[in-house]
Amino acid sequence: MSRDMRIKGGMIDRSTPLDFTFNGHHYQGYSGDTLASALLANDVHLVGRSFKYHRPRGILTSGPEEPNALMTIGRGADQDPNTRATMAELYDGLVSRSQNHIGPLGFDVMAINDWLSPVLGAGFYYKTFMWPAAFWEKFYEPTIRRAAGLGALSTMEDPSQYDKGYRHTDVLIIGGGIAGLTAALTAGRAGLDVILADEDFQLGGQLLASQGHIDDHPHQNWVASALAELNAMDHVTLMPRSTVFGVYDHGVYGVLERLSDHLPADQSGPYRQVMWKIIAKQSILASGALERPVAFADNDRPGIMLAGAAREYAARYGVATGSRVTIMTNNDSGIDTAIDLNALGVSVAAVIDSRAAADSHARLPKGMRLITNDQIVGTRGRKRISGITLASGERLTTDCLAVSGGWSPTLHLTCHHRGRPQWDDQIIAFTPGADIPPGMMLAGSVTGAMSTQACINSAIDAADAVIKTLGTPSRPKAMRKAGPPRPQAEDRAYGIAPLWQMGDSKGRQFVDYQNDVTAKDIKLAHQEGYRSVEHLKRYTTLGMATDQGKLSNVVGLALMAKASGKSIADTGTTIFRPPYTPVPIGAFAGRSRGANFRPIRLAPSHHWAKEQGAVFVEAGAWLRAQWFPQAGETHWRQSVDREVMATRSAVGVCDVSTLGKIDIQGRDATDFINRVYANGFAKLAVGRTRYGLMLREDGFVMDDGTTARLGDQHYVMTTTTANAVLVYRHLEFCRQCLWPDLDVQLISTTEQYAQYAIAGPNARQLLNRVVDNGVDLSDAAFPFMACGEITICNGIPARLFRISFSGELAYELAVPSRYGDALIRLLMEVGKADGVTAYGTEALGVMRIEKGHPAGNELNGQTSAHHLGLGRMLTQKKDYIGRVMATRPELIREDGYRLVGLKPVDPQQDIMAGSHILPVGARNVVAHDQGWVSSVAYSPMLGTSIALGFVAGGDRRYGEVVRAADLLRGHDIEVEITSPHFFDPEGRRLHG
Amino acid sequence: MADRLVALSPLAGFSLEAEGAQCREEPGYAIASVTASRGSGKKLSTAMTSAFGVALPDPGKAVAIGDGKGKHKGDMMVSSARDQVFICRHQSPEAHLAQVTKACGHVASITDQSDAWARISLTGPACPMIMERLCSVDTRLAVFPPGSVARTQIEHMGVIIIRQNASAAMRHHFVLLTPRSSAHDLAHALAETPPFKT
Repeated sequence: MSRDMRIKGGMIDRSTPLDFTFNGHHYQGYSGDTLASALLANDVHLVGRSFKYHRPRGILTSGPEEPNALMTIGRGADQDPNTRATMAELYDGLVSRSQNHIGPLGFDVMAINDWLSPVLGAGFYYKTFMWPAAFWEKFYEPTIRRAAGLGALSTMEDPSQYDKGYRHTDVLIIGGGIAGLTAALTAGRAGLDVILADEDFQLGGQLLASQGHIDDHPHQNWVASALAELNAMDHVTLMPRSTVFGVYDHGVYGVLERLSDHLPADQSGPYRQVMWKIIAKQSILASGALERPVAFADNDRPGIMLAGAAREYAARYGVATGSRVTIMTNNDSGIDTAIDLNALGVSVAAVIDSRAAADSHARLPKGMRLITNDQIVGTRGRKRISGITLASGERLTTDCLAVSGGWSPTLHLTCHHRGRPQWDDQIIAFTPGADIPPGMMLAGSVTGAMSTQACINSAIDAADAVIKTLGTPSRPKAMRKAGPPRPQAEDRAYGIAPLWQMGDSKGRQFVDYQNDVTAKDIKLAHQEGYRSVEHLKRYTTLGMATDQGKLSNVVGLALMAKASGKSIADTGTTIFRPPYTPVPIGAFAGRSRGANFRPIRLAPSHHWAKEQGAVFVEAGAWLRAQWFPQAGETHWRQSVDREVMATRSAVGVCDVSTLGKIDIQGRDATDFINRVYANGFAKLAVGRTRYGLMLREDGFVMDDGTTARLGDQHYVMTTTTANAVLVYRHLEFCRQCLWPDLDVQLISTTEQYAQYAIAGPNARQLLNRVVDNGVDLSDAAFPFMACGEITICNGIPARLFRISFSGELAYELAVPSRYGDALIRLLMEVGKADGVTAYGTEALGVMRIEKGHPAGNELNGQTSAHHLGLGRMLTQKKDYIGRVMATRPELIREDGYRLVGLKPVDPQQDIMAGSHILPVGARNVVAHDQGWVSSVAYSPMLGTSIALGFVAGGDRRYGEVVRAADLLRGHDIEVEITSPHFFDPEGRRLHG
Repeated sequence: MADRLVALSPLAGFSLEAEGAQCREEPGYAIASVTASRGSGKKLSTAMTSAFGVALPDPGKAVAIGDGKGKHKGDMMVSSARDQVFICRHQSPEAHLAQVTKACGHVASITDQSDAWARISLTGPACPMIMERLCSVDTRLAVFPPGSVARTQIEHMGVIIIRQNASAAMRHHFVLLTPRSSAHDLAHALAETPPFKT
């Protein structure tokens, strides 16, 4: 089957042969090949089946716009579907497969769709699969999706790793063809920081694909010397294999760099691709132009390709795309293709020009057959073109038809800020409109410049404008140098005459190859009333999928214009959004996956807790020990019950370093704190701590915590773990924006201190083992709510707070974090004699529920002080944040929600968190809803399930029996409303 | 009475080595945050100059303290927030806090931050390729010369980046300050970055 189609020349390295497979067959290519060029070198044209009709398809282009040659590359979890063979750089051992066929590529059973095509026109699905409605999701859609489509994902986790990065530059040049290289040389010589990005692996663009000279140097030589000069400049960064896929605000460009896609697995670096965010003061878009096809009957046979592609395969890759190539053109680039192919030794059977005459015809080699003023109306050959029929009736034999319908500027990136292209009657194409992204200049063919000289001129103009805009570059003068005189190159006319369609619309004339949209579909859509281009796109799927209409867009619009009798300019165009070409989702995720999704904060006792086998829980960004299982404990409740009982009977230690700590100093610190808390703080004495309730401006509770007065002008405020950042931000807002006249200084000290709660009847006994001589812990010297700076372990500075969340005699001891690990080890060691037990957040939760202390479940941003039973804390003696709004009638009504305790009537039953409170015997409807259960626990002290919850008028309903109903989990039990203070309600234990 | 507690540095001596780049924890620096009392900015600057020989750095800047030799290599004042500087010196936190308090306690609020931050140095010609993978701030030498400070984020972690003078061979020298509790993840982020990751 394979035939060697290599010819002389090209930029491939014939000393480095590369083996690869396509559909299990082994082939050889060379370093410098793409998968597409290597297949063509082996005379393989049939590479896929079309989306809808499963027609045999060949390689149509040589670039990113390829709609047909979509391959699955790689195996297993590594497989990458929908890879454009024209962009896939060949490597040794590459494994590729064609897509979208059942059975072998040469005999696809789904090709039956091709015979059914008369009934499968535009809107077929919408019209046909309507009844019964339920069938759509279960039957029609899955069936259609199996029959039509692209490649499949492996459904395994992507084993590749992706990274992200940020680059800053004076100017980003997008595209490395003649215009991009010229602009880079000009800006680089002026000393500007330059990044030049191109999606290709070899810079040079069309210069690599065409024969010609710049200043007497052959194109490929000129490119080599330009690259050498750019590489020698430290301030110029060349980024091949890098696609600028999006233009975002403030000079930010999204760029995907492919680092390893062209390497065998054993040579790949750590990252497959890097998602760069390039921040550029200015950019120069030098993205060139894309050639477009023409609609004619059966214009999709393998062996039919764009003229520029046939030229590039010959010039750059040394591949003849056929042994009798026929060229069909409406412009002079088709004539140049014929001249180049002939010069490179490719046999040209005939050149067909839709134009009657052109000056360029005189340049054709003698003896080459030229047919003017004619068109193609039909083609032959199922899996490979074998011949064409002309309008004149003549039949020609050919094995490759190279078509040029003209060139469309690659203006996609100019639309990313909603800029609209404008129609240019001179070059019969859309060119960038006036509203392109700020900071972007245009150079080369994207402007509509079609000769090499015009591209050079526009690039120098664009670079000069950038240099002028940015002023004197930051580089020293020594780095600047004058360039040589302006390069001279060909400057011929383009000579295009409109040609969108050949023959009438009867045959299958493909406009969008990727979605199998034909000229007839467009006509039909128009007949059915889809007059807007946006509607046309959605109804026919013209311009969708991976190529996003790079080839089909203009031809489709032209046919739409023809159907409506309007000009193309009046018909309008859809615009382009990011990304320019497909970007793997993995590249957007970068390193943020799995365990690396977000950073994790570790508490000072973490390593010790891990050694103890602690079970951890995420609390905000922190990992906290939830409980510490011991030998023989098979259920978490056993561990938690033990930790609670041991703490209440002897002493427990818990790492509470994660709570927010804010250092507040200044002459007006007291006033400041008094304004942010709802309860009074003006008279807090030095050496004392007070519980504080903080409201939001809207009167709801924001956070709570204790604040200790360490000195006359020095406080430390604690916050809940989850709200630490929120509260700090709030305080900074108050300080900087609300009361800039106060002398207050804030800084977080959460990270500075390791802080342990030491709670239980033996807490003082344990503490006495570590504090230095002279620290008096007696109730008289250090009473409940005292605080002070002390020393422990022979002079280590520490802070001690006598506060209690558990309801026990309790302290919190803080030391600089560097001692945190050593302190937990010491407390657990010396505390053995006191019966010390480490407890985690779960036991902490049980004990606070036993004591009726609100926590995150109760302080959920939707509860007021009155709801929490803390209404009396709202002082009338001062102004504070939230004061006015907290007195809104709904928040203070007597029969409003109140925090209560709930106990199951049958002590064997468990209460479920999230249950609704309903009257006994009432129907389960919203009208009967009286509240909810916010926190539940099993109390080992009381031997029953207990809960905190909010019940309407609950503080006046103690003793009443209601239901706690969890309809989701089918759980519905009777509970008694009680005081939230289940355990030691008088607080005797606090005082030891 | 219990024995003295043993201090642990945040990263327990972390270091990375690769062609063109070295990265290591720099333990032992005490940090005092100093914020001028309202209206005392000038007095604070005077007090600092007489105590440490250098005036307060401007926002976004750091200045070296002392001759930068021996043990005191890397001592500096870093502007860390609006009206706030970190005084970083290689000595015990208690002595450092006492000295800073003596120098300017009358015109500023002082808070010990010695244990709140991990200090990491990053040196070598490959620094730019590391920094561009981690941080969106423009740290090119021309725009971020020695003495520049940026308080920003790396992989969602708060970080203070300070560029130091580098030797001709190293070409680049950055100091990163990052909160202690997540410092292990910043170290991981560095290790995951080429050329450390290969």
